[in-house]
Amino acid sequence: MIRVEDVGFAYGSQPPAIDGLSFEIAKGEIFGFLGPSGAGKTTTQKILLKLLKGYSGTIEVMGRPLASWGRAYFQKIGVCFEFPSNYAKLTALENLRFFAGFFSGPTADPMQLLEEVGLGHAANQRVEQFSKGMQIRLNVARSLLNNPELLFLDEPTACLDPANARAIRDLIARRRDEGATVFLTTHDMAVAEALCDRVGLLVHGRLAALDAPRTLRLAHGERKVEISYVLEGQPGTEIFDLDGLDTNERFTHLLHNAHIETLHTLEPTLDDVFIKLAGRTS
Amino acid sequence: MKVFTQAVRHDLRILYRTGYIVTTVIILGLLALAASRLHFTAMSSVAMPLAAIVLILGIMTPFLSVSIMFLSERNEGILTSLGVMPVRPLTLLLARTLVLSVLAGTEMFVLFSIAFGSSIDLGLLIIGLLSLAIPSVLFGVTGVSPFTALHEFILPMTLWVLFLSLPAFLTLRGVDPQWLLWHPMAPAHRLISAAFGSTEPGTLLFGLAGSAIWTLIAGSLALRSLARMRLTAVE
Repeated sequence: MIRVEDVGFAYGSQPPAIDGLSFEIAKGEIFGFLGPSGAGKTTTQKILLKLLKGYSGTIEVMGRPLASWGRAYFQKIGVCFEFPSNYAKLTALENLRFFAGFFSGPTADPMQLLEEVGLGHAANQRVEQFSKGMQIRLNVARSLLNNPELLFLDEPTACLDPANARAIRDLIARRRDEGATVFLTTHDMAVAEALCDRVGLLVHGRLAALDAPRTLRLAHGERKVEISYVLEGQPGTEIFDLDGLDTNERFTHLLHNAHIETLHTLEPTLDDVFIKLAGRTS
Repeated sequence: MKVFTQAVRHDLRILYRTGYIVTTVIILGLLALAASRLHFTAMSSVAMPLAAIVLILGIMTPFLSVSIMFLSERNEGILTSLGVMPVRPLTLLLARTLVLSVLAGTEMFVLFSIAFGSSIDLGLLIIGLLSLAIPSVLFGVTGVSPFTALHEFILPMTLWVLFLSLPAFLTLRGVDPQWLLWHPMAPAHRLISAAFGSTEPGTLLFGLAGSAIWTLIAGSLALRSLARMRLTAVE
């Protein structure tokens, strides 16, 4: 769906915002684009949205060079920005109807979309009365108006309470199941972990890692297991190497003689991987 | 055409919701009431000064309206949203230009037609007002594009309005308008002065051709400015 090969971009005479960027996103994949602030995520997104020109390298989207797409590109994609971007003086429904009018093909029912993002009750409320979380949900609804093949979502769960964040995550997963490809930019590692088939970690304009979240966690973790127990009335915690665990006498002793409270492997979270890679490179 | 019509309707709705239309109707009603008591009689000897007054008033409304509308849309992230929609910026610009030009032109037309009645050429007044309002809207887009906050724009806005009104101010000071034939508003000034009875030769040709040229120049500048505003709003 998206092929980015050796792409670089610099703002004027400044150092490159992105450099030698290469990745591919398959159809029906949720690709998480992660990275610290200033890493080049927004620049990459602007390029993929045709808002920035003058990049080097090759970009193909939906089988065509990005540069060869005209306004028809926007008939096929959906974009949800991180910041609220709706007409404050209009209602949620009026906003969606206005934007839906730009598409030449069939569009989704705005009311149904509002229900999907949990804004059905606020359909006729002016957006100026919305919280930031509600506005972000309206952005998500707007991005789905044209049933896009390719969705660009920038922090779609920002400012949302856990229930609404889960509803949006489920909605994104449903779209993926229906065949849409999702380019998800986020700082929220829990969202990336829960949703993304693969993630790319961008640091200083370069990809520092690119793989499935689980693979990244395993690759950057220590193969250890932590056990918390109570032995002869005394609580304790010990860490063992996973390798050779079955022949580790102390571990076996604890299993047989102690009251085990918790037992779990110490693979890192995606947060840990992020901090490790972003920190190391910087 | 469907998108253009929708954009026109949308701009009218925004102007209504922001209170612009209601406020305009009320103020215009009061001014019209005052104008109806004045019963001016236009004379060709004062055509240029009268046209100068129309020019100053006629520039302000469309210039300020368009710049404030785009400024708030930029700050609300709407310009960026529109940038990733399958609509050409030209369509949106044309729709907004039409709406604001017609509204501003109507305001001035109502006032001056009530005040001067049949003593002025109403047809020429309409043409003159449109040739004044359209470039004012387009220059408003260019004028506001480098700014992100209203307070930053206040002084530059004043300068723009003063610059665009230059033919009017110099005419009121008694300077020969021939010195300002190059000015973007000189053609509109000539057309409006013709409506008040000025009979300078070649007025219609100069007014129409000049307005068309300046509209094209202002339009292309406005499109470039709109693209820049759309891009710099993505942060």
